[in-house]
Amino acid sequence: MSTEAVTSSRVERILNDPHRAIEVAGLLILVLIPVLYPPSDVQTWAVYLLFCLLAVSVDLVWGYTGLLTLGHAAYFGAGAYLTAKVTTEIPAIPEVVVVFVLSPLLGAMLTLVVGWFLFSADVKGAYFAIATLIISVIFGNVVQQFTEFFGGFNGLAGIPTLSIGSIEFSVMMEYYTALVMLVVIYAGARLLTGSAFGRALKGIREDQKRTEAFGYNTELCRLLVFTISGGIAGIAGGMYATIDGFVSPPIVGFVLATEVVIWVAVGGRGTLIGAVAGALTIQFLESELSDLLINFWQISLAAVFIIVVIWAPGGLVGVVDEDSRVVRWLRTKLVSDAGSSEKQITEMTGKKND
Amino acid sequence: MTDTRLETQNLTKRFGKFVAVEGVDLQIAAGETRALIGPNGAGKTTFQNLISGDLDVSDGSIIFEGTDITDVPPYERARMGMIRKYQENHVYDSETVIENMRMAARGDGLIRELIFREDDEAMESRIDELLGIANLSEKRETLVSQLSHGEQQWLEIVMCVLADPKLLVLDEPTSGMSVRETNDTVDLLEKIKQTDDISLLVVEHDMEFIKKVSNSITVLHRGSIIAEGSIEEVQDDEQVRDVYLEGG
Repeated sequence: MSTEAVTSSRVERILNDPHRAIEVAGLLILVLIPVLYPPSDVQTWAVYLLFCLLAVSVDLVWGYTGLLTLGHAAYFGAGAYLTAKVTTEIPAIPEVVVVFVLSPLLGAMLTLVVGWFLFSADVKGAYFAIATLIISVIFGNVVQQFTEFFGGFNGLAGIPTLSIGSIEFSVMMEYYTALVMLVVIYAGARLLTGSAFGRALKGIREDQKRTEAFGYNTELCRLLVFTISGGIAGIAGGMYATIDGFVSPPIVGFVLATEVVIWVAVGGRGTLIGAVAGALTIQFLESELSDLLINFWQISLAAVFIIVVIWAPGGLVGVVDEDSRVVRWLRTKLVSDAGSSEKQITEMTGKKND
Repeated sequence: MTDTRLETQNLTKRFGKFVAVEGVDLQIAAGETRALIGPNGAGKTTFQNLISGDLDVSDGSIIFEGTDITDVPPYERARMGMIRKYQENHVYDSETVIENMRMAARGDGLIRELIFREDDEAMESRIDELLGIANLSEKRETLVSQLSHGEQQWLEIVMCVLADPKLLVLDEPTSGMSVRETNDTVDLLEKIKQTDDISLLVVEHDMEFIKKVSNSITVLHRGSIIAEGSIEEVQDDEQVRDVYLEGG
């Protein structure tokens, strides 16, 4: 086979599964972040990864079942505040237990209770979004009002770094722990959404009535995925508290709740990789551009959101989807060109190049 | 096991003071094809919503295969074998034909089976067989939104058959179809009846279509059954003629 043909087949493989290509390239870049950035920036990148997890949790619900959730900041915040309180006030419980067991459990329990009420009453559409938004707002108010317990606007500081026995995690270890968490949970979410259960979730998103009339217990499916997503938000919040060492109302309330929805929409909902890409891209741009734009960052973010909604409803990853205009053009250019080169060689030599 | 697939006893639905379905006693036998007709507002859709569980009954009961399912949720009724094809196309537009079929095939699975058990070969070969019956084999990978209206109707019918029904409720299956497409639908239903022991409840306005698929008709008017029997018997019924001459 000629060099052109080999290149052509590689390019075609990538174009046939662009999401996989983004995953591999993205993972390589994320693995190299501690080499490319100083430790202070690596800590910031670790926080970005946790926000990616939060975005994945929202995408599982919004992207796959079509239920717009504006309450996930509350479950993220619950994990973060729980970690802050327990690690500072009950040192007998190891941080790893708080972060990896109690935080996801709390997130999952909260979503289980909220989900049970909402799904058993078949609340959906705008009402579901409003109900979940109210949860974020209530949680945000609670941490502000109960100053003695939650620290009010000043938040809670002095949260210890993650440690196992006498080994205290360095910034590098924290970063790679967050990365491993993201990879493992992302892979789990991929398996879940790629199964017949994921198909049922998409069925609920497309036509809940039809899906139920085929025998799917749509209430249970929604409750399960909502609870799983709450667990993911909780563990991300718990890890956030130990990495940042400080928790305060902005990580709980309305602002984060809506921002994460924008990350998912900008990245491309219902793809998982879009949630990660959107969260990373916007976090990165915010850190790079917020100094330049000062008071205009939020407006710029809103403008990006509107542009995506109007011109690229599939989000950033939608632009490079298998059937997108960009990929179709690349396929025509790169694959056909290489293919026609091989054809010319075959015609000239009278035999196929092996 | 009983020979009666579906039995409704004094089935009644009230919306406030308005009675949409009143005291309906209906029996459908195993393997029977029953047509349900009636003018607009007769209560046909409400009746279907009651037996599928989309609406709660006000009075009466619904017996399916000898089991009282009056308070059973819709997904449980589907798992027991009562599958409904809605009047408007209810297919998954943004998915391919084959993905739509796969969606219909696993509805009776427990959550853990949905997550951990992969699609098996038996399911795939059954899908191939049904797509062949519906003349959709060559459109396996086509997005459903790109199918014609008739093809979407046929797809939904074979999706329902894939869900392994004992009673298949078809709400106006030829709605919006051309004469040729209607004839193809007759062929499709004949093929389904040949290979599977399914009872059909066909709700239709098109009497020519009904004559081809069923010889057993129930006429509903203002929520109640006014006639039942063969096509000839129903056509000769004075009350039925009055109702249709009234224009509903």
